[in-house]
Amino acid sequence: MILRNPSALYLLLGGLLILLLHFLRSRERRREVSALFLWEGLPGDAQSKAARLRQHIDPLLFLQLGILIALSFALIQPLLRIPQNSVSGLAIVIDASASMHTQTSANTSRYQQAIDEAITTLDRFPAKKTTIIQFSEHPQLLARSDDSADLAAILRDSTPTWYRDGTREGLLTMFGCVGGVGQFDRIVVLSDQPIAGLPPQAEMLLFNEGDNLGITAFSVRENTSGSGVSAFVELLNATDGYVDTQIRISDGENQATLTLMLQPNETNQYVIPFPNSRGSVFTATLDHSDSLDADSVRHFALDRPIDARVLWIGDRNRYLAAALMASVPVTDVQDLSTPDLVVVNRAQVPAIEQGVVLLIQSGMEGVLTLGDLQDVNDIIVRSPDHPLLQAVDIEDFRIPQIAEAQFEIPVEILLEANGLPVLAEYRDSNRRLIFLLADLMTTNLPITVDFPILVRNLAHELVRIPAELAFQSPEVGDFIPLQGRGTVQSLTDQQGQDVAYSEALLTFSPQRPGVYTLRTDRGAFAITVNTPASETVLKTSSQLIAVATEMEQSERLYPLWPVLLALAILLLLIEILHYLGLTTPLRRSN
Amino acid sequence: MPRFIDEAFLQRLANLRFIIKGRRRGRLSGVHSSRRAGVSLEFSDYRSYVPGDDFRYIDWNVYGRLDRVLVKTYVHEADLPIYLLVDFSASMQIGTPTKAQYAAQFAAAMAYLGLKELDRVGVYPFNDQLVQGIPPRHGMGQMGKILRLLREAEPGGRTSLDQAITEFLSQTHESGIVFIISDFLGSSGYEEGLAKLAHRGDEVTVIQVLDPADATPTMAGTTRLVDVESSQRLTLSIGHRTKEEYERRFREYQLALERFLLSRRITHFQVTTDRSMEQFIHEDLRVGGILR
Repeated sequence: MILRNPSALYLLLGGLLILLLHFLRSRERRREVSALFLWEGLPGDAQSKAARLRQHIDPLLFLQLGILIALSFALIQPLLRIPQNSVSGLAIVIDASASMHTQTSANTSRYQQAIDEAITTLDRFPAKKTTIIQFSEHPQLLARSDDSADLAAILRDSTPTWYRDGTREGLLTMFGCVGGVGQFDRIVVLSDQPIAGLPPQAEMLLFNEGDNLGITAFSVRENTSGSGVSAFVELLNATDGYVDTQIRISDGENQATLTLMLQPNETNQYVIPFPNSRGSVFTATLDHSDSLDADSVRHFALDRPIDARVLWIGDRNRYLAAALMASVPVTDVQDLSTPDLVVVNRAQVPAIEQGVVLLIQSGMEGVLTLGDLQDVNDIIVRSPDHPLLQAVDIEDFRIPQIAEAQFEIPVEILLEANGLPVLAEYRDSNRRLIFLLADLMTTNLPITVDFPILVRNLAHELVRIPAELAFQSPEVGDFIPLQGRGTVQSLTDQQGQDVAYSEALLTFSPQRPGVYTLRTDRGAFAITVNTPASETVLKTSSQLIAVATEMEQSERLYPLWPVLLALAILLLLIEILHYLGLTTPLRRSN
Repeated sequence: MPRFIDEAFLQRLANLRFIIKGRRRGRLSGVHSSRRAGVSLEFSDYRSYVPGDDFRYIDWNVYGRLDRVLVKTYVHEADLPIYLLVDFSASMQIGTPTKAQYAAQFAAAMAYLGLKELDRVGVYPFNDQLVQGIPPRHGMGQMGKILRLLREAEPGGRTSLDQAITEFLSQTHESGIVFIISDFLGSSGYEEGLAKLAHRGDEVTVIQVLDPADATPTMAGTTRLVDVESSQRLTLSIGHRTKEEYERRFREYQLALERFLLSRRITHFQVTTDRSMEQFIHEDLRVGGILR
């Protein structure tokens, strides 16, 4: 039963007035008689109270109260909801968009609430054929059966997607795929967003409980100075109160934070400097617990390879290789034209005119000629501010011997011992050469703490390739192109599992947010996929009203006011007739 | 024409006439017979001639055959005054219509019947005393006066039938047909007055006008009863048993009244105001021998 105008209930207070007038009239009962002497001495009737009660039970009083009640309830405009049991065709549409992951105060998700309601609906409306549609940007037929037990089991096993909200057109198309809307007597739509223009037999139930604070946009741009990046973040506080929180930008190694106070129901943009960042994949994290955690994390990847292609010449030193792989994803290559880094270990090589080359006790034609080994003692830092030495403490380095070097090009000496260069650098517009004049295996470098740091600095400084400017980050459900990054070799998700993609179209549509890795012949690329920003919706403050309104529009409701009005008129007529019938004897008795 | 009586009603009374049980003396010729012999069309007897008798009444045929001078005597058809004593005490204002209205309507009807038969009709309203009435007169002019009096009379005061009849007897010296129209619900008694009236030789008919609630009260519960004449009050819890007791007491009161009237050979009619006046006159009074 739905009451459209509950305030009319106050009219029932008029009943008190009727009762008051009735009892006042009763209290004033006074009768003139022709001969009081005939009454004198008569004993009072022991049943007088009952008689008085009978007198108070005046049919006119009850008729008046009945008329008042009928009129009041007619003005309330009650609507009787008559369940349509045993329908021939039932469709249950469950919103499975990302926002349905939102947790509610009952420690369950909106989606779970919708599932519970769907199972209840199955019990209430046993149908010859029930169709269940999981509705989102990519709707799918979840089940179609006449066995409610099977349907309930399928519903319980289902999970919400990370897609955007579906559209009315998408839903109608889905209905078209299963035979058309007309075959359903009743359509129950369970969602957290109102959907306009549903078929008339559709009943909509909203599940939009929960507060949310989310990142709706995130991108990173390299600073024009060449050092570090700047992060651009957009936050939506979809709650009714102020929120103190902190946004944290991380590149996997370093992080930058910003403390914020967010106004209720507002969107704000922030630029967060991240000068010490040297990464390619960034994660923005909101340090705030809310009903939907998925949009509190957002990823962004610069459009450049995330791995280093390394060409080894000479012996492959496993300590160095391990330190490189700890710093960046490493792909070993054999072709001299494609590597990001050439490692020459204890070998003599011809001149390499471009790229980054690390020469470890190695000579290069026209650049460096190695002489005899010389015993050395303490190592001295010659260029302490050089990026390669950032955070490197050489105190623990022990190098007993170094090769005497004769450079044919001007180099910058970074470390030296006994006046001989230990670590030196040369750079021009085409190439960058790093010289380590000691044999790694005769030093203690591989077992020191600072050696991996030195190698990391080397990897980040030497292997870095400028990124393309990009501000759009793909979202779940998007068709993401894989072209332009070389021949695709594999596509894996965050857990390293292979992800299917269209080889013909070279696209893939991610189903979950996260960082995907695309491997091509040109390296490894990070593809970040985020929760759709549109799912970070504002909570509807008039939640219950919205539900009620939709229910009214979709339920089979029968207005009762005409019946009540007719009843009131009937009672009024009865009262008139009753009054006229009683008028004469009543007046005679006065 | 007052509202309580209309011409159509009177026309329906046109065929009715009073039936007088005994011959009464009257001063003027009328349609009612008198035991007093006199000049009339109806032969009565012969008697010997005495000086002073009208020669016109000597039967000369009898003198020729019997040689005796006899004078024919005739039944004297004399008019009889009709007295209408109408109770206008406060108790008569009870009911809808009130008993007073019903009584007035009845009195008007009787007055019309009397005057139509060339009788003299007088009306005497009373409560605890006789109010200024209209002495018996002939003619339809009298009807207008009677109607005006009945219409303008307002019920009030207590009922004292004895006092009213005593005053009536002192004002009227000629017996006649007397209608006493009252509810007879007075505590001061009626026996003495009615006895005096019967003793004078009047043909007395009592019309007891009651409200239905007088015999069968409708009130229930705790009720403040107010005597409409004395304004005395009595609060009583009235239930089924109380009403039964009242009705039993009322029946005893009525029985005492009827016994008394019967002992005085006074005709008694009881009517309630919910009964049609026309039915009462045409049925009850004709069956009761008052009208024909």
